[in-house]
Formats: sequence, structure tokens, C-alpha cells
Amino acid sequence: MSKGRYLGELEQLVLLAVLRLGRGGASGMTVRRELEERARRSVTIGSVYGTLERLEEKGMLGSWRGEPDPVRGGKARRYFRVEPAGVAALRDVREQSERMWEGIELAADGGESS
Amino acid sequence: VRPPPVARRLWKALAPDRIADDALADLDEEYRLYKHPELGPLRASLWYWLQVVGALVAVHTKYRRTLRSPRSDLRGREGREWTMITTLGQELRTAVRTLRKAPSFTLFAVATLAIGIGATSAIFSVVDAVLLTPLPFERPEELVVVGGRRADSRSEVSRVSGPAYADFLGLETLRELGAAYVIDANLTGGERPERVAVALVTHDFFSVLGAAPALGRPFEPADAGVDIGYVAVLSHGAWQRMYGGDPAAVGATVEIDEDPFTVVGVMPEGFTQPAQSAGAPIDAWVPFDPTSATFGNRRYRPLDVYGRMREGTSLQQARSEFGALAQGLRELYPDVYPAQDEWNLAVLPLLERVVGDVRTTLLVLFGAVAFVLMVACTNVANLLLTRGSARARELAIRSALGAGRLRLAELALMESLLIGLAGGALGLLLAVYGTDALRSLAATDFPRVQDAVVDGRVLLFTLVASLGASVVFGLAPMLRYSDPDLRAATVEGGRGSSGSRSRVRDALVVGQIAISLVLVISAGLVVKSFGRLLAVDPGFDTDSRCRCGCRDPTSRRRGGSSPRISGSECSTPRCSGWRASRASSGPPSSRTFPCARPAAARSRWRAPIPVSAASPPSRRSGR
Repeated sequence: MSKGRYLGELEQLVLLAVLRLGRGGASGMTVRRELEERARRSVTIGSVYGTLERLEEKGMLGSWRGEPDPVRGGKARRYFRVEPAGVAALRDVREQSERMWEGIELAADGGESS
Repeated sequence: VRPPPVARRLWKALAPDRIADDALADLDEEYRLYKHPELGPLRASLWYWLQVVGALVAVHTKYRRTLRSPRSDLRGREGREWTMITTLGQELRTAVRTLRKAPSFTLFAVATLAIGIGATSAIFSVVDAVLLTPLPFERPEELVVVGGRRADSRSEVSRVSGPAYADFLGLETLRELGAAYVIDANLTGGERPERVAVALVTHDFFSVLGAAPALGRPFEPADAGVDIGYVAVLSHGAWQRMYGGDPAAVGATVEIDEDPFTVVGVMPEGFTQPAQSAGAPIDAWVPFDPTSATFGNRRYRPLDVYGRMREGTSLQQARSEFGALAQGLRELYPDVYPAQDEWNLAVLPLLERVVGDVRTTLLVLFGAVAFVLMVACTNVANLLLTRGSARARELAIRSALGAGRLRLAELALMESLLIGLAGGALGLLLAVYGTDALRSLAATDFPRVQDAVVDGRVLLFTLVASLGASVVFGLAPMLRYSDPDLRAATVEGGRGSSGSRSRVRDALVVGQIAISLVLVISAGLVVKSFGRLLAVDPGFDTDSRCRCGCRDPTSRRRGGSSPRISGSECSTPRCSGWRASRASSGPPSSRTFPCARPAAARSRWRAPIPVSAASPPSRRSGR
């Protein structure tokens, strides 16, 4: 895996959240709520946007503006979608992780048995 | 449902432009749609605030590099900004230039702050010396004073008798115990005679405090003799004055009230007897035995008792032990400790005894100057806001040239910091003079005030106060400068203040008046109490009466009450200005009047001063 495709832990979670929310629903707020509800990770909107921007700069995410939204005071919402580079990076992470987990069973006491 | 407006404004001012609007809209939406209905208004507001503060920390630390560079698809306006103002140094230069262009404003703001910061720092130097600095003894937290306390006196502890001191010696909670009895005496033997304060102390007095002579030896148990021993330890000051710092002073003979004492030691510089009520510092220590027959009367209570608590013993344990002893004594000697007095034994930490009631006074004073500093801050904030409206056009141009909200906020903050630091520097200068003035003003009223100096701690306090003040008075202008509404308003044609702006200014003025009113009322009350104190009827006619004494011109008496004159001087008034004169051992309405000491002690230690070359009593009365 090349360095450019390295994913931090929060980056990985944010990419997954965007994927889960599908095409149409991933805004900063929904990503933040998804992280909080599903991953049980409490993060600030600042960290979410910091990560989203960083991923966009790496080319793993793309964003576009929706129609002006009356709920948001007439401002257009910014949506995010995962680009092919993001999908590839996620796949790498998953494969690497699965290779490492192969044959490992965690015992109830936290130790390792196989 | 509206999210907390101040938090929103804070975010708008300090978040990077690149994400500020989107993130704010997200926060608002989540607040309105989920948090407010789920959590209720109070917890939802708390959530909002935590989000804003946490997000601001995150975007300015972890994500600073990502978010501060312009987005590739937006390399327009913000791109220019990025190349225009890139570094802190440039902002600093801009701020300096702006302030120099308005010298009268800058001068006024700096002077206002300097007064507030100077006063606060000067009082802090006193608070630091009196309240915060530990006593200059070994493990000072273990040291206590023990004294009598009657039910009607709230905080003051009185002295105890020799037999009571002897009773203390068997108690468990105190590891060491020493007693002192301070008297006025004539000290001769050096170049010139002096009237000084002398302390009779138990032989282990110095070791209780964990102090030892710098020169010579401390007292030994044998020194005390039958009731008092004829050896003495001099203070550093007396040693310098009498012997010019000559080490040969140890072994020399000094006369204390015409009795010869051999000097066996000299205390180190800076050693003073703690919690000593007389004004003058002690110049000589003489060993004595308070359990001897001379001090055998339980009604005669001359002793200050110092103790050191056993390790691991709490003050509460010591208090209950002494309380039990006091109860036993009350039952054993009902004529000495009558039931209606409710006499008891009190154990006080030494620091508390030294500081006494001054703690409250000082803290009130500190609070008052802190209020003055707050008034100064609101004043400067108001000035800055007024200037903000005058500078609206300049800010609009800056913004049109591409300065983002964050940049404008940083510029405002930089100006505030510069004003604050300049005010702090000038305030420090004022604090140096103020501390000097306080030292001489409060010399007799506050213990330990002589140690008050502008040192590193005061310097640090001043720096923190200046930075804190900058943030306090800079916050409102910072939010104002970076408000996009302002830009819109000015671009449209430079209209005056909008509604919300005058609300902030109104709030500042209201706050300022409220604080000033509190200060004025407190000051008025203090003056009124002082006036009432002056008007107290002493019980005798003070009109055209005066008190006089005389002094031996060869003696140098420092501090304390005015010198006394001998009986023969008094009974033969030779001055025509006097209608009548009477003598007493202390001024009327003082605690020592009338003086009631047993004859044995008086004959030995209350000898009149030998006035060899007396000057006539002054004629200050005029009639």
C-alpha cells in the first residue's frame, strides 16, 4: 500500500460513513451523526470537516452543492461522495486488516488462543 | 428555535473561512432538528457550546494545515488573501501602524489600563507577601500559637499565664512548645543606648521555630537560671548597629535595663519573631523560665505560646486536646476563669495568627482593585468599539481586498494584545511605585508588608493580568470587526451603528456603571465608618488636651508607642503653656490602661527610663 493511500482511523470511519449514507445523504451533519450513532465516536463538527477536507484533497472524496435549502436559511447544502481512490484505499485497509486477523481468536480473558 | 448567538458569533469570527459557513449551517440544523427537541433548551445549548469550542480547538490544531490553505476550487478571493497576509509578523506590523496612526486613542487606552493593572499588581504584591508567602521557618504549616480566648472575642487570642504554660507541657499533640514575653527595655553597651523590644523566651524557643543563631550558639536549658538567665542573643539589626557586624560581639557584655548580659549569639538577617504585637521588631532575646515562681500567678498572663504539632496530627486533634484541658482548668480554678467569661484555649495556625484580620481587609482591597481593572477594561472595549465604527470603511476595504473574517479577528486581537501589553508595562512601573507607597503607608497596620516587592511572581501576575485584560476588552471588538453584517452595512454607504452593535455598547456602559456604583458605594461606606470611628465618644473631654512625652536624645527608639517620661519630670511642669498635667503608664482608652501588673514584675522590668538629658515637654497644646 503506497503512502498516498494511507488512511488514518478517523479518515477510515468518515469514508465508511459517507459510503453508508449513500449518494444523496452525506453532508457534514449526517456524517457526524452517523459516527456518533453507529461508531459511538463523539466528534466535533470541526474534526469532521477537517477530515472531509483532507480526504477531498487526497482525491478520495468529492463534493458538490445541492439546491438552496430553506431549512439552512436558503444556503445550499454541500454533499460528499466517495471517489474511486477512496474505495481503493478502503479495500486496501480491509484486506490488510483481514490478513492480520486470519487465524486469530480472542479468548474471553483478553488473551490469545488458536 | 435559535442556537446560542454568542457561540455562533465566536465560531464565525474564529473558524477558517473555508468551512465556517457550511459547518455552522450543519451545527444549526442539527441543533434545531435533533438536539433541541431531544435534550431540551439548556442541554442543547451546552452541546452547541461544547461543539463550537471543541471544533475551534480541532480546526486550529490538528487540521490547521488542511483548512488554512485555500480550497482548489475556490482559489479566488481567499487565494489573494493567502498571499497578501501570510504571517503573524505582518499582522503585528499592521497593528503597530494602526495604533501609531491614532496616538491619542492609543495613549488614552494604554493609560487607562496602566492604572487598572498597576493598582491590581501593587495590591497583589502585598497580598503575595502577606498572605501567600509561607512563613520563613522550617515546615511552617506545623507551627501553631496557643492562647486564651473569651467567648466575646471572636478571633483574637490572648496571652496565658506561666502555670497554664506548665500545664501545656504534658500534652500529646504538640511536639515542641516555647513561650515568649515581650518587654520594652533600655539596651546599653554599644556606641549609644537604645530603647528596644526585648523578648524573654524559653531556652528551646528558637528550635520550636526551626531557627538558629547565625553566629554563636542558641540557648541551653541551663541558661535560664532560677527565673531569667544573664545571657542574650542579639538580632542581626542590633548587632550591626551596636557592633558594626563585628564577630567579636559574641562574648561581649550588653546591659539590658542596667543588668549585664553576655552575648552568646546573633540571629540571621531577616529573622523576626512571629505574631509579635508591638510595632518594633525584637532586638534581643533573653532566656527565662516561665514556670518559675516569678510567673506563678495564674491571673498574670504575659506569655505568647508557640508550638509545633506532632507529625500526622491535625489541628482538630490539638484543639480538642486543649479544649479538654481548658475545661479542666475552669473547673479547678473557678475564681481565675469565671464561668461567665467562658474562657477557653485556642490553637491557631501561626500564619493565621500573624495575618489575623488583615486577610479579609486585603482580599476586599484586592477585589476592589480588580473591579477597577474591570472598569478600565470595559472603558477600553468601548473605545475600541467606537473606533470600530469609525474604521468601518477601512475594514470594508481590507475585506474587499480579500481579508477573511478570521484575518480581521486576528488583527483586532493583535491590536488588543499590543494595547494590553503596553498597559501592563506601564502598569508595572506604577506597581513598583505603588508597592513602595503601600509599604510605608501600611507599615504599622499589616504584618509582613515590608517584604512586599515587585518580584518575579508579581511580574508573572502582571503579565497574566495584561493578557487576560486584553482578551476581556478585545473580545467584543474582535467579534464586531469580523462580523459580515458590518461589512455589508459599510459597503452600502457607511451607515452608522446598527441595532445589535449599540446593544453591545449599551451592555458595556451598563456594566461599567454598575461596577463603578458598587465601588463608589463601598468607598462611601468606608469613609462613613471612618467618620463614625472619629466621632466615637472616648468618655472624656479631648478638647485642648494633648499627650506628650520626651525622649532621651541619645537613644534611638523606633516604632511602638511614644516614649514615656519619669514621674519627677511630670509632677513639676515648668512650661507656662500648661494648665495642668497628669501622668499615666499608658494612654487613656488603650488596652494597657490602667496597667495591672504584679509588683514583682514591675519593679524589675518597668523601671522608668533614665532621662539624662531630657528635653522639656512639647507645647503643642497651645493653651
